Amino acid sequence: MTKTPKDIAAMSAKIKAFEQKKALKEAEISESSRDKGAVTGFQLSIELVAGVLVGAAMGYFLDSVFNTRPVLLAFLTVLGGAAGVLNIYKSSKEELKD
Amino acid sequence: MANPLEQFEIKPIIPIHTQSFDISFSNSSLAMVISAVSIVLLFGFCLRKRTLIPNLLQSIPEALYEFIYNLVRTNVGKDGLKYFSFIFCLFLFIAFGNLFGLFPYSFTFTSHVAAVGALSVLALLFNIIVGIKKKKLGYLRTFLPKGIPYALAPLVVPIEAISLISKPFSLTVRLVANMTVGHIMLKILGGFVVALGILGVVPLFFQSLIIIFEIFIAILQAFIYTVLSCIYLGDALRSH
Repeated sequence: MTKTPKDIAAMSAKIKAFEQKKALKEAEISESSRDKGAVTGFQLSIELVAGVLVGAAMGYFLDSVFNTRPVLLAFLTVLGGAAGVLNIYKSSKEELKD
Repeated sequence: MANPLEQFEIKPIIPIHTQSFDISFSNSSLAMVISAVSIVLLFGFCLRKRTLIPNLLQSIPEALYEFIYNLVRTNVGKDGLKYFSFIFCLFLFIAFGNLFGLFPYSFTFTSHVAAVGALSVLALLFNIIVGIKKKKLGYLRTFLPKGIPYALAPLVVPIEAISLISKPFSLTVRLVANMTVGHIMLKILGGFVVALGILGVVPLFFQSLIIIFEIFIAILQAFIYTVLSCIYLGDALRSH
């Protein structure tokens, strides 16, 4: 029975070592996922710009159809920004799912 | 130093002019034909002896097939497997186009908005047609998701419409920008190698590293393009 405290000490040392290892591993993972996050962020920034550009192009085209320059151009450019944010929201929802 | 943008010039090889269009067979078309033909030849060559247990050559197309198959199944769902052949072709065409463009004196057709944009518009039309076929009039719900008050319709409908149309645009820009930037960088570094004489060994070293990186980018961008068009197609099939 005198052995018990020693066993417990050894066990707790083992647990400590394991926890340290685990923490190290987790730090590594979070670092790599941060890199991945940077890539994703860059990819999504294109989405934002694309929304504004497509909105502006649509506005320009519809203006020349309806002869209302520049009302639709201004309106749809702003909505294009909103559409870009919507696209980012949609793809981040997709990302959070997995 | 040679003009780094010269490599993107489209030069007609066999000029064909109709009354209002220029449909010449250009170096871009040649690159597309070569990449399409090389896909067919590679698959034909690797699969000429089909056995149940694949040998090394046969396992190359099988691995590619399985990779894209799983991609479609996870991103589009079981319903999407009907469209597997379309997505598989899209992936192979873009991947081979990117890789073929890395050979000296070849042409990267994926660096042109016209070529990639046409593929993206194809994906957009595919999305719309599949969506309408599946949900009939309910497809219009895409533009006004459930739970949104009708008073907001004048704002939400244009936003959703722009969101739908801007997706192929961002797909195109992503691939085109990546390919263009990589090739310009390679060309400029190549110019340094020639201009610096014996010291050109230094840029030559970086050049070889960047070539490896570009091969990686070529496959990665083809993969990203495929994944995003899968998700795009999945949107049309899934949303209620």
